[in-house]
Formats: sequence, structure tokens, C-alpha cells
Amino acid sequence: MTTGVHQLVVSLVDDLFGPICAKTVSTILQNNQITMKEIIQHTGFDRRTANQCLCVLIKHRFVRYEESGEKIRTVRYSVDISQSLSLPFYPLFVNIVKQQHGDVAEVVLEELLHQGSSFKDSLLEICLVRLQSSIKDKHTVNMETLNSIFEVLVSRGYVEKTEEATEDGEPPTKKSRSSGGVMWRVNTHTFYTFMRDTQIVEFIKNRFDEGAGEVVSVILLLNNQIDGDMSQCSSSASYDQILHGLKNKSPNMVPFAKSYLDILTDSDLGIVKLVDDYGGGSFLINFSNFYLEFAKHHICSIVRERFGPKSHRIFSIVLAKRMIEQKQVAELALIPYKDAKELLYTLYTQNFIEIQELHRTPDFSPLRTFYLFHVPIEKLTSKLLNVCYKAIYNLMSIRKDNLNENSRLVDKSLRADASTLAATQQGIAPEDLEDMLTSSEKQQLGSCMRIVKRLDLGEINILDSICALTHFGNNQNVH
Amino acid sequence: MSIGRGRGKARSKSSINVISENLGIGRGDIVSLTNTIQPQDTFPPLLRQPQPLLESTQHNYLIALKQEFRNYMRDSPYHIQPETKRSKIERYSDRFKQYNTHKELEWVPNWNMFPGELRMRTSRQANRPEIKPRMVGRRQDHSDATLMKRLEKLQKSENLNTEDDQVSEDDFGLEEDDDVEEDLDYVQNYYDDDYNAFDDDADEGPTIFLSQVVKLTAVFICL
Repeated sequence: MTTGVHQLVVSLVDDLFGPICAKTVSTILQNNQITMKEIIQHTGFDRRTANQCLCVLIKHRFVRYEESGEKIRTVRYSVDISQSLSLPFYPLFVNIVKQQHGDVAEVVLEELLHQGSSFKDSLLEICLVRLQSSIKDKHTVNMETLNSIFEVLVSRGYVEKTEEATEDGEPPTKKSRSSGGVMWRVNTHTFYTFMRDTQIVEFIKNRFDEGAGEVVSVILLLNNQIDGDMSQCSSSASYDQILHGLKNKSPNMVPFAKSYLDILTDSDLGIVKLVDDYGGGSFLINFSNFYLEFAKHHICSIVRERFGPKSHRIFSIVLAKRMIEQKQVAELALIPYKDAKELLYTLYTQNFIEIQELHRTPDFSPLRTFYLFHVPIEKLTSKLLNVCYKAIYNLMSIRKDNLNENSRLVDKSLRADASTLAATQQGIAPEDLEDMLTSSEKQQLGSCMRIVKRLDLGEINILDSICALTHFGNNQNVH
Repeated sequence: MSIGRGRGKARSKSSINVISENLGIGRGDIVSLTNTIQPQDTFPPLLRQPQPLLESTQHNYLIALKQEFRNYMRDSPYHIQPETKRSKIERYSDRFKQYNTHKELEWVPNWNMFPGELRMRTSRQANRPEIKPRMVGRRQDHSDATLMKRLEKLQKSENLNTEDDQVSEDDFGLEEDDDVEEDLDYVQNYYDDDYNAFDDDADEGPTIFLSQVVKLTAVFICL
């Protein structure tokens, strides 16, 4: 991984757990795998502080450890980068659960994210306290409803047992009994799978129409692959199953199901595939092809926004033709040769396009060499992914700077809020209270908060691209 | 001759020139290109107006969630604040200060999750007195029946002792109080240090505590 990613991870940790933990993480990142002794040596913290940091980081799964050695056990710590990078997605996860299972489930998931990993009982107790203090109709929420909602989250795969509990395979040991059961944590993979499925449906809707999207969403609902976002294809669904699913979901689409499936399988995207012919055929969704198409789509839109429509045209021609000479590019793009060359070279210098040399003769003479332009998709994806991470890092640092500059005001407003709250609890009307902040201070604070909100919005807007590019990258690594 | 010169000329062409000609870069262009290469600006000027950020009620909700999460974590026990700076001049008293300002973990970890080396004696454990409280009596007196027997015995002995000298009993009483206090400390520690703080219910605590007090007083009066 690159320094950009490292910077982002350190910054994320700094945001949540403070500068001491951030320093520990950056030390571990620099040394890849590292023992406690080395951590203390590099950071200069005392043993107690280092212990506390590592406890917090392991609990929130930013750091993992490996024990080795027979007699003298050495423990090596490393940073779980992929887990750490899912942190910006937490609001999305919470929102997904809210939309699917309601407000109570949202609170449960949010508390679990707060705790990192937790026992079920203690987690639900915290949730109960929080719900009873916030929701108006208190009597509707009790431990039983919370329990059932937790079970639903587990069955949907959003919450899973921690590795320690599952890998041991001997649950009734003395150790686990004394700990009071198993620890639970949020399963990020299920969320990524869910997000991928929504992206596929959106993509198909944009390419074809609503009906095609419905058909694809039915196939995805029938998918029962267990390996989540790592699988290459969905499980196949027969024509009958799809029809049945459509009847339940959107009955008016049923008569067009066959023609939609024909269009989808005939298109050169290769996202929906026909695998069997009997009984009207079985269909599956090829995720690898989708990742590729979606990544291409993202890259093309980035080129269009950054280099303009002409460059976009040239880039998509190179992408479509795979290997192409510059003269042909100019001809196909219907752009004068000189302009086309300039645009092509701009893309080349920005590493969006690469040149492959093909020598006609063994003397490697440039005169008798083809210079073929092509798009290195894997390289480009990882580069753009890093750009995205860098962008989030930049947004975060601007936000921190902004808040640091106005830290005095922010503190003051917090104090003011606390005192008004205390006063209202004592029965004093808020109108009677004196304003602690002057109008100019309020203005300044307001503008600061607006900027912070804007920066947060920027971070959330980047997540879609990150999701698409990460899926493609992971898929390439697996296969 | 003209043919030969032509050949010679063709040979003298360097490969770089051929490539540059092939790529459409003139002789003068190479010089101008090499001169202009400079490190990029930190904030390069935008060539185009970027697209506006997507904004909707859902996005606003996501922002609210994000900020709430951040604020919660900042105020949570997981956020470790740097220690306050010590003065540059080292003092003898600093040694003691440092020892006292150590912040303990404010949450109870499940030690199965962590490697053993992270588990440290908390200062409460370290501060515990070396002398162990007498546990013999407490251990023996688990059933109510024995307790009742002892209480009866106690009553008998009290009746006998009432006429005896008062002073010695007073002394005894004082001692007993001290002992009880020490042992109460022990009881508290014993339950505080329990593995999982969430296990001991709020309503269970005091009852156990009271019964312990009764038992202990019984024991000490007995002794």
C-alpha cells in the first residue's frame, strides 16, 4: 500500500482515538509487523500507554496481532488496512440498516460500531438505555424486541461473531464461559455486497431501463452465494424462479420478463449470462464483468470531467480498441491529427494511457516499430483509488485545521449548550437566558460549521467511486 | 556523391530524433519541453469548473451520522488523551506524581480478545495491601444454618459477659470496627475486580454486600 493510504489510516485513527493512538498506528504502519518492545522504542511511550492504545485499536479492529514461538511467545502487531479503510463507510452501513430494519436496528448497529466489538447483553443494555432516553414512546422498546432485532441482524449477516469465538471451535471451554459468551462485531463484507447489488441494479437501470433493473434485482435476490463480495458469479436462477420473484415484486413487469432477459444476455456487457437452456433457461450475474464495466464507466467519467469531451472521446476509443496506433485514433475520433496527438500525449503524461512498443525487426529500430496505445486498467484503477484516498485525507485535514482554528469558539458553544440544557432542566425558559456567544461569534461559528458540513459531504460523495474501484481491485487480486 | 551524402545523412540521425519525428515533435520543441519541466504546484489551477456535489436529505442524514459518530468517539473512553506535560526540571516529587497521574482503562476489556502481554496490573490491584484479609471465617460461613448457630452462641456469650469488665469490651469493639472496615474494602475490591463489569447486576450488588456485612460482624463478634 502507498503512503497516501497510510496517511489516511493515521488520520482516521487520529480523528477517533486521539493523537497517541495515531502515532502508534503510524509506527506500526512504517514497520509492517512489529513487537511491543519496538513500538515502545519507536514511539517513546511508556508501557501502560502503549498497552492502552493497542487494546483500543484491537478492540476496534484497526490492529490485529499474531502470536508465534513455542516457549517464548512473541506477539507481532500489524494494521488491518482494509478494515480501517471501511471506517468512512460507517454512516452508509448505519443508513442501510435503518432503511431495511428501522430505527431500533439502526441504534443497535450504531452502538456496535461505537464499541468495535462487544458482548450481546452489554450491547443491548446500552441500546435500551439510549432508546429509552430518546424515544417518546418508551414502552414499545424492551429487551425482547432488541433481542429479536439483534437476531435479525445476525441472520442477515450484518453482525457476526469475532474470530476468537469462531475459530476455536470449542465454545464450552472454561475460558469462554468465564468471559460471558461470544463477542460480536459488524461484518463489513455483507454491507459491501449489499452496496454492490444496489450498484448493479442502478447501473442496469441507467444502461437499459427500469424494467431491466427490476429483473436484475430479482436475480440478485435469488443469489445465495456465501462468499459475499469476493465471488465471481451469482448463483444461477431459473426462468421460473425469476418469473415468480417478479410476480411478488412488480407484477406488471411479468409479460416483458423474457424480452428483458434476451436483451440483457445479448448485450456485450456480459453482466447477465445464460447458463442453461432447458425450462426457459437459467441466468446468473457475472460480477467480474460488472466490476470491469463499472470501473471503466468511472474512469471514463473522470477523464471527461478532468480533460474535456474530446479527450474523453479519444480515451474511450483507446479503451474499446484495446491496442491502437495514434493515426487510427485520430481517424476514429474525427479530430484533426495534430489536436488528437496533443490530447493523447496529455493523457499519456497523466498515466491514463500507456504505450506498448512492438518491433517488426530484431534490431529494435524505432522506424520499424509500432507504437500501440492502450489503457492499463488495473494500474489506473489502483492509481485512481489512491487519488480518492488522498482526496479524503485532504478533506479531513482541511476540516481539522478549520476546527482547530475555531477550537475556542467550538468549546465555548459546547459549554453554552450545556449550560442552557442544565437551565432548562431546572425550569428556566431558554428565552430568559443570556446569550454566551456574541452575534459575530455566532456568525463565525456558523460559517465554520458550514464549511465542515461541506467537507463531510465531499467525503461522502467520494465513497461511491472508492466502492467501485475497490471491488474491481479486489476481484483482480483474487483471480 | 549525392547518393552517398544522402546515405550518410540518414545514418547520422540519432534514434531520439527518429522517435521525436515519429511522434511529431520538432527539433526546437525538445529544448522547450526540457526547459519547462518543473515541480507541480500544490494547488494546480482547475481547468474546468468541477461538478457540484450531490446533495439530498439522505446525504444530510449521512453527514449527521458521520458527525455524531465522530463526536461520540471523541468523548468516549476509547479516545486516549495525551498526558499533561511535566516540567523540565526533574523533581523528586515528580516520581510520585507520574505514578498517580496514570490513567487506567475506563472500560473493561475481554482479555480473550487480546494477547496476554497487554494485560497489566491495574493500579487498584497494585495498591492492594500486602496483608491479605482473613478469609477463613467468611469461607466457612456460607450456609444460613451455621450463621444462626453462631448468632445463638454469640447471644449466650454476650449474656455471660455483660457483668464482666466493661473496658476490655470497649477495646475489643474498636479493634473490631477497624477490622470490619478493612474487610469491607476487600469485599468491594473483590466485586469490582470481577471479570465482566456488566455481569454484576445493579440490584444484586447491595444485597450481597449487606449479607456479607452481617456475616462478617457475626464472625468478628464470635472471635
